[in-house]
Amino acid sequence: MARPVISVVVVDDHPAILAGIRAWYAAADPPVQVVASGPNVGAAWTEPGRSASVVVMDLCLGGSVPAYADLRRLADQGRQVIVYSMREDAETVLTCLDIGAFSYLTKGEGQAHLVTATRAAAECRPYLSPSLAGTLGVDRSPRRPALAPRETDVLLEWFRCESKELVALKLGLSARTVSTYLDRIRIKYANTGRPASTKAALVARAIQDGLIAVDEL
Amino acid sequence: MNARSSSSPVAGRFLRSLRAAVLLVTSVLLLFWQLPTVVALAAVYRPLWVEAGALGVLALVAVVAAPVVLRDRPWGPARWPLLVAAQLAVLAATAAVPASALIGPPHWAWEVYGWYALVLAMDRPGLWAGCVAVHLLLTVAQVAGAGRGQPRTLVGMAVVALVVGSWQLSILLTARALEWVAACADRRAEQEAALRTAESVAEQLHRDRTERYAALADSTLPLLAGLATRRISPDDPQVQLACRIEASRLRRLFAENDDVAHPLEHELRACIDVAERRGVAVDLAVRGRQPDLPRSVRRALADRAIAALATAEVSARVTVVCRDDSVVLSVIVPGPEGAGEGSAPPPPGTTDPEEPLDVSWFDTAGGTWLEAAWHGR
Repeated sequence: MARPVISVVVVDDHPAILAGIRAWYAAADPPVQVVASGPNVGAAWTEPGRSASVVVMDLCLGGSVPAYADLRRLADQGRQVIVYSMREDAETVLTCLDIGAFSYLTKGEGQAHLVTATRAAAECRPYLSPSLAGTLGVDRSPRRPALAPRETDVLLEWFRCESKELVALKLGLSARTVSTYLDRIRIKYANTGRPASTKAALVARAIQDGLIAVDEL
Repeated sequence: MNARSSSSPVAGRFLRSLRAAVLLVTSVLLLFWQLPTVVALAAVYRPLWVEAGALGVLALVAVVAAPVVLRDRPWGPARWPLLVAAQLAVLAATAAVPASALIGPPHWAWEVYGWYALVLAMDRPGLWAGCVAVHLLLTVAQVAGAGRGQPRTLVGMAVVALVVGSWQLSILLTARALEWVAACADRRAEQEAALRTAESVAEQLHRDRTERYAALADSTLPLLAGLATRRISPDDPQVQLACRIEASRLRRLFAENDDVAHPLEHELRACIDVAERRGVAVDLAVRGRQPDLPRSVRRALADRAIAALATAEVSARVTVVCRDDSVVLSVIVPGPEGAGEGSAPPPPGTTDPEEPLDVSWFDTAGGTWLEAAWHGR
């Protein structure tokens, strides 16, 4: 199966993080290619980073202010951005999703989830990391989409155990159904708040894949 | 009444009563001495209407003063027109008394002004003294002007003024003394309250310590005694496990009294620190707004986490999910330790007989999954 090689640009101001991410991508099978990296988003706007299919960026680039504006410009250009940050607070996470980030990973869960999230981003398929699922599971913000109790259960169990097999065992579902639940929740979030082309692409792809029906939105 | 009394509740109450009493004295004098005198000696006054008018003005001053005094409001600039009105009324009343009757029964007016000044200026002794002095000078001038300035009359006036003035002065001094005593009482009450607070804090601390000591006496002390007497051996894996648990519980107890925003998270971190010192990589994630949990619930949750973490050798994941009505702690320990083959291991580490949590163990081939849930009432 000759899947196309996924190209990534990594924006982070810590060289050790850059090196670690490169190592994870190199060890992935098939490997993910880091075509450019740098301490600020300039790397994503200039070649070769400009044509990379996925952007992985830290939210705290040098300053104390989260780089929401950079994220917004990238999302408005239809770039698939994975935010990879130290911050875990609900406000930051939900703001990034609302702006149009593809996914949000905390630094603690990079090794296990960054490669999977990157592949999903390259294919424009939803991906919810456990930390993001935890945040959505307790989300009480007024903009949140309506979730069924079962959907919330799946979110929180995924957050707790980081294993879809365990969630499936615990809730008496199949692992595939657990994935479907998570994907559908991600699509529901993509369909709320600020309109962004990245969100629209995610929803369109989900409808095309039969993950969710138009009248469900 | 004034800024001083309002700063002291005790003084405020005393002075309010004293003000009311002075107003009462003034009104009684007006109704039962001045009014009957004017009625009985109506023929003496020249003319009568001036005397009656002066009496009316004084009555009006008392009526206007009454609500302010009874509601214990401060006077402010409102006292000036009243002081002047009372003074003018008294001058007019004296002027209406014929020279022959001055400093006699019909001449009541000059003796009462001090009371009005006291009603209107009890909070300012200097003002009261000034008003009374001006009043006496004017009266002496009136009396002398009417040709009654003989030493005998003036000495009689001085004696009356001294008697009435001392009486009024004693009330002023009483007000001052009350203020001072009340301030002392307030200070003492504050000190006593502070002392009581300190005592109850100390008592609470002592109770907490005793309680913590009791919590340790059941488990930590026997373990230490066993190690000291070599009854148990540190080589025994069971003893090592018990040591891990007790070390974590000690850390949790130390963390319990810290003043932090999220006590549960703080206490869990203390327990996790013990595991991390052994080289176990523990991942803690908390979601949702943490409610104010009772200490017993925090202890029960932390005890569950301690028991689960003690079995971890390589890594563990601890999560806390706080929702509106529940807090769920979950600890996942990968590895073969939890190979209970379907049967849930007995939940170790509980010391609280009134278990406030719903606890479930979930064993898989990959490890153990503990979940402890607290549901708010």
